Amino acid sequence: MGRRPTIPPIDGGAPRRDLVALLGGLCLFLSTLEYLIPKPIPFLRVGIANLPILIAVDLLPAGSLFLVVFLKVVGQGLVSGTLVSYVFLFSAVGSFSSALAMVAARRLLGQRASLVGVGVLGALFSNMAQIVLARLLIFGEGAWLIAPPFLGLGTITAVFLGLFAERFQSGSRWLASLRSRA
Amino acid sequence: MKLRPFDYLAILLSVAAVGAFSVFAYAGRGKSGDVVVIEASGQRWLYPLGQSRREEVHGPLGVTVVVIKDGKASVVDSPCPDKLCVHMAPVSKPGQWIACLPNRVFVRVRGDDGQKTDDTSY
Amino acid sequence: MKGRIGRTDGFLAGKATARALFAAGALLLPAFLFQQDPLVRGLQFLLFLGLNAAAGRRIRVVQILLISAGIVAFNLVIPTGRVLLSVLGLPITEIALRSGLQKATAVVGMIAISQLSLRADLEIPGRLGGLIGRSLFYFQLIMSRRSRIDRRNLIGSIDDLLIGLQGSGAAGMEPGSRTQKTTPAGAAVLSALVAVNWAVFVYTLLRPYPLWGR
Repeated sequence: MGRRPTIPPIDGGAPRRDLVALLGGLCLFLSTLEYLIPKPIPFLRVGIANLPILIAVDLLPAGSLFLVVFLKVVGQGLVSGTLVSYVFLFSAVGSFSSALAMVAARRLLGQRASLVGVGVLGALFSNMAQIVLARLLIFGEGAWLIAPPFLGLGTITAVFLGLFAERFQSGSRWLASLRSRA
Repeated sequence: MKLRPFDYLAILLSVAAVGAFSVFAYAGRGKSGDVVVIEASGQRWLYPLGQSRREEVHGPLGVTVVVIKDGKASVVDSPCPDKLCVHMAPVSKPGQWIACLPNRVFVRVRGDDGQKTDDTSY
Repeated sequence: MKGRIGRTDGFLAGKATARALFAAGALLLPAFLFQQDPLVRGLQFLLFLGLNAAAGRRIRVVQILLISAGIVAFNLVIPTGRVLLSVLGLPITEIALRSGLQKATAVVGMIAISQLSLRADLEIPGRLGGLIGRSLFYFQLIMSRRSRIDRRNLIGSIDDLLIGLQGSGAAGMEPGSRTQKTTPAGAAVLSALVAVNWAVFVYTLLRPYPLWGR
């Protein structure tokens, strides 16, 4: 079955809360980074802001993971000022469904999938949810036309993100020190 | 880095999803993507066959009512004397048409492949 | 511990509390979203945009135009309604255009209202607020250290950065200057803003699509 979270609360859960906050801040940083990188196609979404969440799937229990997602989404909304808008809604739906799929994947598949598989499944459900939302709220029936390339590109970027996450996971001393504190 | 078995499965699932959406978006809508063109009083109206609606079109004699339902368009009422248009069969394929000549209303189905011929009409 | 957002300048800084601003935004939102006429909504959007610009916020015109154009284009793909004109052989239909403009104005308008009503010194109460504040603190901390990330040693340099963060969480955050009270002038401006938009909405209930034209 899935690897159990390896950071139990030490004293009142404060260290974990700090980790949650740190991961949230990291997500914000990465999303700002992605926003600043000049892209050939403006609407291309790489999703590097999801990396901390992907790596944290094996670090935190589901509740804390969703807290990180919450911080990521709300933080993005506050920093960019789009908290009360469709942008926020898309961000929230996408990130939460992604985290949900990733947690479920980890629980169901255990170690038979690496972070690549987990990430790909997360991206798949996240993107499908967002397409449905786009159909309902902003694009109308035209939304289905971009569904295939949107999902396809999302899968490709998810594979690369997963590979990076795996490499980071194996090479990071920071992660090692977090786990050894358990 | 070596991918594990379920990684491939996940990717395969995504590819399948892309395929399914492609079929749905590009091929399956051939029929409901077709467009009904209604022409009257020098104006043109376009409606997708896939959405049910009821439209009232004005001509010199009065109001002709066009209904689109179940992928077919038909004239349900018209102020012309013999109501030939009302009795014409519902149209659903590109090229088919219904006309109410007295009220100068034309209803036809246009295929998705552009409307070059539309511009060169009457 | 309460949470706080970065900058402290903004709309009606010094004349209205961040909370009043947020409340005004919350009241504006339904009046804006319920509005059906896309041209009226467009004007409302320009109003909010102007207020944002006056408050010092940078306006990204290209981004706004791109987003709007994209949404309208997607809605025009399925032609619906009376043909208004043909562009390059493709028909622009009335209902599809209206729908596209409604959705586009909704998106950019919501963003504008959101930016207008969220000011840097807004306090989010409770433990959740503290967590949000702390994550924003880490965000700023990482941002300030981002030059340490080396593209040739990506994982290693990021790793080092993360290790360096440990222990910073206990540090406090700099308190920004907070507007304590809402002045009568500030309250008047906010109330007028909300009232005008609601009045416009009520007017369009009685006379639908005043600008779009039935």
